[in-house]
Amino acid sequence: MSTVLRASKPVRQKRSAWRKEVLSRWQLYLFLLLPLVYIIVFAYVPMAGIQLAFKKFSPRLGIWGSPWVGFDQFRKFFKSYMFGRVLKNTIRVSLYSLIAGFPLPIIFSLLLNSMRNYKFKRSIQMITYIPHFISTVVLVGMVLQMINPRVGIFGIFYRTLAGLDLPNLIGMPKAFSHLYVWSGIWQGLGWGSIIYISALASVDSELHEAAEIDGASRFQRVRFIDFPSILPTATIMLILHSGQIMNVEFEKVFLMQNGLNQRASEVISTYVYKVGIASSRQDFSYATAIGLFNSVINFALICLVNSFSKRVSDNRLW
Amino acid sequence: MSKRRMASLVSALLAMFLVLSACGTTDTSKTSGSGKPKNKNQTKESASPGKKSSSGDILNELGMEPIVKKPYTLTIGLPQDTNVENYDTNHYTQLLEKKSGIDIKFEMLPAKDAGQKLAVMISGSSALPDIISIGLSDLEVYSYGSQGNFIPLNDYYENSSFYFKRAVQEHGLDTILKDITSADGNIYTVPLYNPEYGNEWDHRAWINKTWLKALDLDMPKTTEDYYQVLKAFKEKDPNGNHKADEIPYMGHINGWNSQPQDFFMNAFVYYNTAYNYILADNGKIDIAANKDEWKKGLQYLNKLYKEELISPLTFTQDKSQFQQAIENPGAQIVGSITTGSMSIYQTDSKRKEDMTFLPPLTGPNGVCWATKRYQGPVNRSYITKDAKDPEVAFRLLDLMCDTESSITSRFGEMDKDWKFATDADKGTGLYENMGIPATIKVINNHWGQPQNSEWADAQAAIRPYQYGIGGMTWDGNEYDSQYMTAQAVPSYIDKAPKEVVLKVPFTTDENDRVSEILSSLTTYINESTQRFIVGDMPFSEWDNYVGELDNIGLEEYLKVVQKAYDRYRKK
Repeated sequence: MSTVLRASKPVRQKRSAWRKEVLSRWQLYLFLLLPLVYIIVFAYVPMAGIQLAFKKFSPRLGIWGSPWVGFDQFRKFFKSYMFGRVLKNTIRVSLYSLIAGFPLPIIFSLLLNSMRNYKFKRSIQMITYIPHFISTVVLVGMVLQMINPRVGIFGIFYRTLAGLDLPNLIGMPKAFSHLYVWSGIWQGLGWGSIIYISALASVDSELHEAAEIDGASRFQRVRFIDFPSILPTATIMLILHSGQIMNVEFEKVFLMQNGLNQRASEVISTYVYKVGIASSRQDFSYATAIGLFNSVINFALICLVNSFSKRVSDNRLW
Repeated sequence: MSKRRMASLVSALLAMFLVLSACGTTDTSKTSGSGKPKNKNQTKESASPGKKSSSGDILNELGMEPIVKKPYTLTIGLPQDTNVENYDTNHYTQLLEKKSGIDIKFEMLPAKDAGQKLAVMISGSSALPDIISIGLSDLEVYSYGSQGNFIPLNDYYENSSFYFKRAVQEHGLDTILKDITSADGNIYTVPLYNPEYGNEWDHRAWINKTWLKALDLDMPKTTEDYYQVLKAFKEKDPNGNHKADEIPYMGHINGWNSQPQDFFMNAFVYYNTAYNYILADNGKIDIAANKDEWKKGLQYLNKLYKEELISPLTFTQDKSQFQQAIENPGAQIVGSITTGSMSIYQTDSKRKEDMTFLPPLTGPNGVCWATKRYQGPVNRSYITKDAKDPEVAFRLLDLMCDTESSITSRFGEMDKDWKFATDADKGTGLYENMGIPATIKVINNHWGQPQNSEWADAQAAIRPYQYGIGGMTWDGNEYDSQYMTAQAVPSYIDKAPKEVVLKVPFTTDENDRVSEILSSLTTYINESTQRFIVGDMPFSEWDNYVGELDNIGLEEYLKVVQKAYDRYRKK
């Protein structure tokens, strides 16, 4: 390392130092190789397809040969009848999931961490993260079955308690985002809290002991020791999540959609699917343009939140 | 770098890794489902498309069996049907291989998204199999054909066809080639021709005749009658269990004409689902969805909904939830349903025995239509630009159009799964009421079951009424779903307007102009129809609804359809 720091040394020596560094820890770099290849192949190479957004794609001419059309595809999207609706729905659903879904795993992991009985703690953790492994199709099927007013478990409960039929929730546009978000929270809570639980496990127990001797209550210990120690993780997670704001889980929305709730459930990803792939004449360029629009907004958001976080705290992604 | 930041970075990386690994699993499950090109020689050959080969060395004379003189291998791209046990040992495959001498290889496409898979194969410029066999719209065929991905078959139809020509002559199908000609005058497809009365008039409703009898009611003839009947079903406890558990009417989503508007709208205005609610009068194109009659129909259905005669689940439940209701174990609870076929019930269901078809109802203005559907030849098999020898491929497709192959591809192995009806079966035809003689006696009905005798009808075939479902013998079971359909047909048939738009082939250009309008238009109409019926959208908003249709671009759409329709009529 010392050779690198000495700035007056010629470049060649720097390079050889780098080589030495790699050779001395080649096993670690070998490990790095696989994810690197993965990212290049599956994330960077497909980016060449982005050009489709600015072209009028014809299968005969291929991706590279199709003629350029500039921002026509974007203009078409912004002018389209569905633009306002899908944008509004997308932001509503995803912002709601973020606001409702982000703090819960943190609270949950704090609660779990201050629990004394080890076995109980472990079983709760297990039980809460099992739903993560249920596939979306099955999950949606379960939700639909449960809220069926006639045969579903909630329908039957409601009828016995209120003496009325449960309103047909899946057909109500207003209920859609609630169903989507809370079933998602149910599924993802345990899994999402794993990262915080592991961060909490690394908190030095001496801190707790010292606090206990000083007479701190359990709540105070959570407030002043546990919470600050997972705050950096939480901030990073928030930044990462905010880069996903425009991404709504396509499969789940698509499966939960029907004619009655479509007003609230048509989001950008389902719309892209419908005009780009499912319609009789596939319009890959248009679908790519909408997808790119989505990603650009996501990227802008992640930059925004990151710079904000950089300003108010020391935590940032880059 | 502070320790804290280190920790947070590590956690973030961990989180990303979790996300990535999750993606990884879904990816692999997806790719394993879709077929990968496996035929080696075909990829080699694809380098020189359009090269005329010396077919004379390979092919025998027309009409001679086998078709090829020496061993020849050919690949067919087919959507994989899970009910077909093994495509290689399949009886239909073996029949074709025996008669043609061609070794048939398969390239499986995903059953549900075969069209998409094909689009991806073409756009990714991967080599195509010699033959692709999936249903495509006229526009898709036209665009793939005019782009050169499919080969024009006009000459082959002229010079290399034997079985097809014979079938056309035998069955008098003079217009069949005209119906499959693309907008540019070329023919790119060998069709599946499989007309059925049951499919032609498939917007059917059914009513519980046991309940009608229990309450001493007549079969409803008008919409008003029907309303009174449903009311009686609801109030008078027709199932006699002293519980108000009756559901007068119920439908479901994503089914075969399973929504109430699919049937009842026809008592107000002609409901053309075959072509986006388009009406035609003396060549003049119009749309039903903004007419006053349409509004009246919605108001009628809204009345039924408000009085809880239509189950609210109708617009949200899927088929399996619907089936739970119609097969309710305790007592019969459903009074009336709309569905294309009674096969929605279990085969031996007791609940089905209560049901009978409801003839088309007459509305307050004397309107009584039944929706007609296109039953002409449909695009099915195509020879691709990568075909080693298009003529051999065409000869194989030609063989599929032979009457025996055509029956086999639907009913399976002759004398094992079915046999020709004999004199003893005279008069027992399923569609005897439509004048179709009993022709095919099915021994082992495997339709929709796991089987190894055909390709689940995924190939080309020429199978007129008599050689399809229409010609089947009836085993005397009154509750056979096909028999129940056959019984319904005479009440529905010919109740369509004189001029019905069933098929209007667009050019690519026209389609570019209207495809997005059409997609928004149908979404908005479907959605609003349901919202009007359930009262989520009050009728005071009708004018807004009509205005919104104009905003979406209705006028432009109708103009384009009019132009295409004029061209089609002149042909």
